[in-house]
Amino acid sequence: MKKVYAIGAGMTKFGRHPVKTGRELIIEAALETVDSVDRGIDLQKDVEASWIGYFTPELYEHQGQYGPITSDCLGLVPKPAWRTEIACASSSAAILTGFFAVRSGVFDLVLVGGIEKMTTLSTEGVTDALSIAADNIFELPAGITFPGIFALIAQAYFKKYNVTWEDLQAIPIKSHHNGTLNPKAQYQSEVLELGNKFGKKKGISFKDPMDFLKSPLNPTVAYPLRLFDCCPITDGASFLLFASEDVAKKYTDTPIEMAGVGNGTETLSLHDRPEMTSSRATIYASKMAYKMAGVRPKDIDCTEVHDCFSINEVIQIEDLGLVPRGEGIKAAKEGRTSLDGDIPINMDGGLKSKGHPVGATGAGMFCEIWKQLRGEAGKRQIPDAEIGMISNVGGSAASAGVFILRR
Amino acid sequence: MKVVKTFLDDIERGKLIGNKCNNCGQIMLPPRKFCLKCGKSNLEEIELTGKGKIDVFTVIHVPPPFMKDKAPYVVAIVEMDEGPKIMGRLIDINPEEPEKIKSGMKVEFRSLEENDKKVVAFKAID
Repeated sequence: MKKVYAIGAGMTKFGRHPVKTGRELIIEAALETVDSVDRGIDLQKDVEASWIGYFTPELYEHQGQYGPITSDCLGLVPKPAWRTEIACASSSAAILTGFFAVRSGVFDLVLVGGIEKMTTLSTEGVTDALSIAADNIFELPAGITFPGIFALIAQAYFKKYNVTWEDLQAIPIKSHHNGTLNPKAQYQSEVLELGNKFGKKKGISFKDPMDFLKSPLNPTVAYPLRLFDCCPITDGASFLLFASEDVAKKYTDTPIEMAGVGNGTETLSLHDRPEMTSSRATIYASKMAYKMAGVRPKDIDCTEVHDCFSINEVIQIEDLGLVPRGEGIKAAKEGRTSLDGDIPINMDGGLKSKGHPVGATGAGMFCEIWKQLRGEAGKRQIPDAEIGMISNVGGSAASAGVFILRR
Repeated sequence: MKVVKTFLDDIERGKLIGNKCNNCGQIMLPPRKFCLKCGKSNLEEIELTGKGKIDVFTVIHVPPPFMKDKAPYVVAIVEMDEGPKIMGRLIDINPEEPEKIKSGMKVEFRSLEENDKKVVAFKAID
């Protein structure tokens, strides 16, 4: 089996791109990915196959066939291309599949990534589109939504570990701070700055982030979660180039090794799980990745986790074994998960601040770790980062992808 | 095999039918073909009493389109007396006072017909 290296990574700015369709986003992200290859690459000649994650193009763009579309708009026809789907982890499925294809020796160079063009729909339409990642028969008729599912998870967590919504706010406050250092982020402002911007229109000013977060200007979406516990609606695309050990050195002297990969599943319905405060999908995927990479949680220098809702950052870092059970919030409050902490999490602002174009999110997180390990993360650089991890989940974490990268 | 259809028809009749694994004893709701715990298929049908308690709940303020006119409303995960948990709407309860809704509150199953869909619902009992 061949070693697999990431030799390029690129993404669009995450945010609202009203005049761009999915195709323009794909082209923009692919061009940046090509530019990121140290010694250059001939995309059309060198790429042998591609995989792209896109959760619901049918609903956002009334479009299927995103595999061939990717091939078509990047000039890769007639090379094979597929779309992958496991909800918010759709690009993790592309990453996994591309990895398997190179590892097995079928291809030497592949393009993998993801996209979601979400702002074509209203908030109500997006809520509906996202909801199909939940159980259409046993959950949705009750009137549950994704914020609602994570609100239930948060309630279970608060009950089990005797913590409160106030404690949880350490997560969005940190995410927004990191987002100020990321030019690709949808929101590049501190929580207090955004709060005062909202407040200005109503003649209100806030003295600190909690003052705003507890105010009616941060409305309840699904009790106890409020607007700032939820990631935004985002357009974006992201790509990676994977090369086999045979060809990687031709493109760069600093290839990033795909040291460990893992995938897993959990029951679709939340009520069927033995624990609501944990996902067996992430636990399984991370064990697989740790084993393949031959590393332990304490060896990881920096991690990107799936904070679609504030509570999920907490659960993710516990499922990955980065902190003990029940101590995720404490770690954030003590600054351990901040940029200068011993377990830096979501250096790029996380889904909360960077944005969450569902299908592009996993590959977007990968872009951040790739940059961190190459020392190219600018103001949010973790010094001497050598091993990094990505943990991406689909829906209420019914699917998961975990990747460990090594410089 | 009509696991889903049967379950929905049973809700309409006001019954909660689940199953019990004859291998490991796990009780499941909704019913399944393979045991949630041990994966074996030696399951028998059982009718649940419909009584249980609130495990966790949320109040939905930003609803899906089909619930547009009904928000805010309460959705809970209820732990049935027999063990399994299921998601359902909490009816006849004030969504504006979430602090008064407690984990552990006793509830009873109610069948709800809404937008041509059969909905699992619960009502508090004292």
